[in-house]
Amino acid sequence: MSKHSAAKNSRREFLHLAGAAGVVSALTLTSRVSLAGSSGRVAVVGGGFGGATAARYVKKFDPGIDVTLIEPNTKYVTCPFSNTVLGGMREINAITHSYKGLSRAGVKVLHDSVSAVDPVKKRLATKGGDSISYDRLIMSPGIDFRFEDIPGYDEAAMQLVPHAWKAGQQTVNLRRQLMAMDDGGLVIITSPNNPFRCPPGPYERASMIAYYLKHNKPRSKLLILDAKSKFSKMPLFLEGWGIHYKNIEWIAGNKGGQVIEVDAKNRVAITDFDKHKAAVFNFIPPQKAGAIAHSAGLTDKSGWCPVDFLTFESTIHKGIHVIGDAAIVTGMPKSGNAANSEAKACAIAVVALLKDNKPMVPMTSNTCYSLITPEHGISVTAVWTASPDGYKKNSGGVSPEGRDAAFRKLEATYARGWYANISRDIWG
Amino acid sequence: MINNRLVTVAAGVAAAAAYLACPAAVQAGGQFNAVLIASNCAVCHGPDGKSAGLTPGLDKLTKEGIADHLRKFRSGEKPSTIMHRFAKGFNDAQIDAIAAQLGK
Repeated sequence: MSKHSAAKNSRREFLHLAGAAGVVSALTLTSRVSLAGSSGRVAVVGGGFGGATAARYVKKFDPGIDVTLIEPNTKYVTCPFSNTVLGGMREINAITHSYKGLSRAGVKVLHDSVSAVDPVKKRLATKGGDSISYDRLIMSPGIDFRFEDIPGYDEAAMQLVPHAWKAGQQTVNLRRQLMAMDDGGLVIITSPNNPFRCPPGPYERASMIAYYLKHNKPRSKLLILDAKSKFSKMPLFLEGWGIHYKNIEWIAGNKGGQVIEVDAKNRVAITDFDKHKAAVFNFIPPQKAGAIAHSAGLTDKSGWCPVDFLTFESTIHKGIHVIGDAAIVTGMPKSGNAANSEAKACAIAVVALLKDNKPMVPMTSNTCYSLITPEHGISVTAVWTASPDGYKKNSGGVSPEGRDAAFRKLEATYARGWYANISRDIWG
Repeated sequence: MINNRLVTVAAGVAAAAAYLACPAAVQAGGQFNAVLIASNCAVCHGPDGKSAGLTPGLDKLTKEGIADHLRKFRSGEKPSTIMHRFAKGFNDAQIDAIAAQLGK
């Protein structure tokens, strides 16, 4: 108690003396702020695109802060580029990252699960029996599935009918099923209603699997059953499919594409109008915030986490910030790059708040590439500024339609460059 | 560097006030945080502008060079796949502040 007060007093004194320079040091990457001694304790829950970035950047923006990242797995398999594993272009190891880089950056990495969060005492408990006190908690819980909305789909059904919407064992399972399938077998992919993780993801996945089928199982077809009637980058995907694939069929939500029930044992997708039997069935379920967000009481009726757009602090529990797919960040998509950008904005806000400074209005950005073939890439980008109503777009847009193969190839190359660099930015 | 700090400090004060008081002012350029947006460039160009390859690195470029590139992407004078879509999101002061963070 006395130690904590002393630290706080000296920090205030420092800010008083330093005046405006104190604001600068919080925002530039100097180590000057650490002169004031320990700058506080930040716990981060979840080691994906949001959480791992937040842990690294809190430490980078203020090395004096004690940062602990709590993540159950010792390796992280990225959803971005997992579709290339399904298409046979990459091995799973090429999209798997360890947390050694974060440890080297000064983040304490604890491989454990959080069992309880006490927002009043600012403490969390782990399944391993640790109790961790924090001044600010950043949670990046990712997604969970609305099993309750889909009769027939549950944890057991996931092995026969993989979702592969959290990468890892599920990705490997789906890849094995595709490889084992006879030529001529039908592959079904479903796409859920908004909002969900990675809006263009199901269509990139369809492209990568169609590429595999075209070259390995030419008599096979791929059917997309969609709950929606339009989707992200739709004109660019349709253009690309027109050039490269005759084996993809897409059924829109308003034409009977919405799957309302799953018969996992027989790999049958049931819609209002029809039953579709697959040889390989990839069911991408409707989604909500990750389980820990619900048990910590951070979600609203929508199943996602409302936050203040300036700081990403929960509007339900003070002192807890929520970023990434689980958060309601109006105007921004649920993507890995968006989570990375939100994490940096949140990290700057947390550093400011720990110094009793007013947070700034953050700007965020997103670059989202999709591959249609290994040499045909498309993208959507945006720059946003926070406002009280959400994130307002400054600029952005999708790749132009009607460009030549050289342009598409360049975007595919940049897609691989993006993956290599964002991975280093987070886990490197 | 000094200019950049001034931009950042002024930005911080203006930003907090703008957010709390006047939604319209949030759209104005004054609240720009160059450190934050420069950190976002890392996702394609690599941490500290050092690219792993396939995308151009930024670490060999000068501040003036980066600002010049961004202005030419913004105007369309220099063709690009995605950079014009980013550059149009920033005004001149913001471009200079980003370049000051990233350039030599």
